[in-house]
Amino acid sequence: MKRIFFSFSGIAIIALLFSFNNTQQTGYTTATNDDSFEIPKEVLTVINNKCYGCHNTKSKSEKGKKKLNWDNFTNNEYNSVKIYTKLGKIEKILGENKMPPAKFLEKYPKKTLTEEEKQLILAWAKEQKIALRNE
Amino acid sequence: MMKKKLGKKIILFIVIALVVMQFIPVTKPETKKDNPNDITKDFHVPQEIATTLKTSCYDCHSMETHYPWYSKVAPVKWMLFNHIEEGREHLNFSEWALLPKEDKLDALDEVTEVLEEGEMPLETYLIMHREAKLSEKQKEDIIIWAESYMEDIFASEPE
Repeated sequence: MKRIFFSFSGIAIIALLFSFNNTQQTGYTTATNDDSFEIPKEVLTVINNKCYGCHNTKSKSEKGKKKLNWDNFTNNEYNSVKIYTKLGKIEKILGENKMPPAKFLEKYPKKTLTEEEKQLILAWAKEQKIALRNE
Repeated sequence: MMKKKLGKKIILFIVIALVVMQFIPVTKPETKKDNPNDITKDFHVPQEIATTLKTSCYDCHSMETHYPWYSKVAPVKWMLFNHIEEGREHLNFSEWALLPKEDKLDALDEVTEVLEEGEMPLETYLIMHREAKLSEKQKEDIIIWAESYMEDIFASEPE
């Protein structure tokens, strides 16, 4: 009897683990690179860790999604002018330390951008803007 | 009997409070008629778009605010002045020419955003300004105009 009970609970635990894994996989997609607009890996890592959660197509934050959607950088939804504009805005917002929002950081302090991460994004944005201008 | 007295007292209190409120000094956001840096002076803005902007946005997003009669009455005027100050701070079409190119791009991008989302003009503003309500066609026209203006700014020489 005990054995049956244990094997059942074992199966249940394994099943649970799998289902958890699955929801994670489908519920969280990451901004990926394609040919249209390339984001270097290290920049992408920062974006995925600190920004993408609110700024993606499936985001629950309507405002966050509308203001900036990282998916639109790589799926051709933003044209060059839009990308240029968003990059300029990113520079401005990060320069003023307005993102991630202070209220959000109170709850999730780990999402704070380190100075290094901030500089990395700023340098990338600046470089991309020049590249877009010279296209 | 008691109830009647209390009711009277409350009304009297409200009346006195309203009267006192009128004497609390607040600064009314200034207006200017002649604005050489206004967006409508720019050749990128066709007459039709200029008219729409003036009708639906200018009370809060320019120096050409038309104050309604109730802008003299507290507490409504406090809210109103606050809206106007905030609106101008966010985007002041009367100072358009002074904005750096990137701020212009950002502002036009936001114009498309708030129109697509139906955030502007504010519902509270539309209650008293029905003429300011934008039709779908007007919204679409402004969005198309803003996007093409953005293209022109982007294509122009950097500052």
